[in-house]
Amino acid sequence: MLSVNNLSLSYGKNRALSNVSFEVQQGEIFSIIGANGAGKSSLLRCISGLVKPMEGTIYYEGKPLPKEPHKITAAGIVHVPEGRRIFAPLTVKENLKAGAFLVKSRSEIEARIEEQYKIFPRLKERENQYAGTLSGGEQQMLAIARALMSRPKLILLDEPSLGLAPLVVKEVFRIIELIREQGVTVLLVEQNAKKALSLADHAVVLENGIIRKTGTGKELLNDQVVKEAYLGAGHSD
Amino acid sequence: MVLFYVQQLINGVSRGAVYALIAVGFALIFSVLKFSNFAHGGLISVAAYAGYYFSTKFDFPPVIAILCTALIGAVMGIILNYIAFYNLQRRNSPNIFYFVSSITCGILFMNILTLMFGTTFYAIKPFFKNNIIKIGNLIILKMDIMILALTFVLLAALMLLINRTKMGLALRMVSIDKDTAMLMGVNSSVVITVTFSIAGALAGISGILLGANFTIDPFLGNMVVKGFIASVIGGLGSLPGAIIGAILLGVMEVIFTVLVGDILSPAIIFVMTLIFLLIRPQGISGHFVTEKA
Repeated sequence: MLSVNNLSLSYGKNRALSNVSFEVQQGEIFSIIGANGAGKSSLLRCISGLVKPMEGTIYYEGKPLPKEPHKITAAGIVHVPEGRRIFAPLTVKENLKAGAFLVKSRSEIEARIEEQYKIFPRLKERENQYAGTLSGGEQQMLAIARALMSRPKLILLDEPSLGLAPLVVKEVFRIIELIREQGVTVLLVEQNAKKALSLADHAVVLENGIIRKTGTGKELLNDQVVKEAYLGAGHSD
Repeated sequence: MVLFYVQQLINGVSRGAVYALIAVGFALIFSVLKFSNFAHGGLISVAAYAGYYFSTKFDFPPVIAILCTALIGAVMGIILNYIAFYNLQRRNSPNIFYFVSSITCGILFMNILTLMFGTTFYAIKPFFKNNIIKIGNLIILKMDIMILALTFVLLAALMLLINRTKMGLALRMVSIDKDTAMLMGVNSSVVITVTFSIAGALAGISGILLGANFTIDPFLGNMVVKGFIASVIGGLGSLPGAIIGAILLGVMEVIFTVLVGDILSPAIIFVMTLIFLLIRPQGISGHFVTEKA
């Protein structure tokens, strides 16, 4: 569904990505794991059009990806950025409306909001509150709900568990599975390698902008190198 | 004596109404692009001359003249964006570039006008034949009533646009977080173009109104400083704040001019603004607006 070929990106002299290639299949959860600064977020920003790669191509559903971010969103790819980036001065409901920006019909937007409230009842309780007043976990839920408002075919999730309490992390991963069950392809970027790999159908390990390992989630979970570098050797359960 | 101050209050509010138009155009650009657009003054100057042509040379009725000037302002706003800021947006240039570019363009516009028209003063033909309404001993100018009404209608329409329409939502999204707005499917260059056309139309209307109230010279647009002060007092980037700041500024100017005279009053107002900002640096509206890094 999405194929990334030989993608390279630099910020000035700093190389963020070199020759990154991988392919995401329709309906799967594809995880990208790696340490801070490995280039995970840069990769997602390339896919959603916020930065232009210097080299390489991205194909989406067999066609070259559109150039501008709003066209990429219209094509069915939605990006939940790192740090949630909800619109803090807008209310929860307005944030959801913002997520359905490309939907014309008002009644359709209302229907989709109700749909999200079913998945995230907490958001309904807070619909008229300013999004900035929500807790970290609620903000993450809002960011995901906002992204789902556009009914994407592919959702890019950047560190959805970052800075959240363990219980909330569990909830976030439960929702990621739920999203996949609804037929949405998930491209997941995570530092929480163990969780991300155990969910993933396929995964890659990114290190200093280079793909070090590729495999199914299970393979990488049992890989000795990955275990030592990302899973904390000796703590497997 | 009370009557005297009521009279001054009326004068002050109507002066503030014009400042409000300037300040809102200024604040609108600030809220979306996070820089102080001093080229707004250049647009006001251009609009004042356009207004002179429409109302005095071509003898259009006031309403038509104002509409035409607004249109010229909107077009100029879009052109300004393309010549001065479009490339900066594309390259993600730092904030200071926008600032320099805007000042440069403002000066450029005013100097082109100087070349074309010289520094002679032009006067717009009065909008009303009999400009004065007397209520007891109070004197109210029809022009002032028109300015107040026009300002009110325009700002109400702008608030409706921002809070009730899809374009308004896009505008708010871009002003909060441009990247994320783009991820939601907002075409930010369209939003920015629309913002410049609205701000330009407001500059156009303030230009012709200033021209009708004062006399026109190429540097009339330096009145943008009033709009700047008003929006700083109100809280940069906040539209309601800019309106309140502008009315406050207008009233203070008129009252201090009466109390201490024409020369000292701007000095006192600057000092008061500084003291106010020391106490409340975020302005009346109370939000800090961070400048784009």
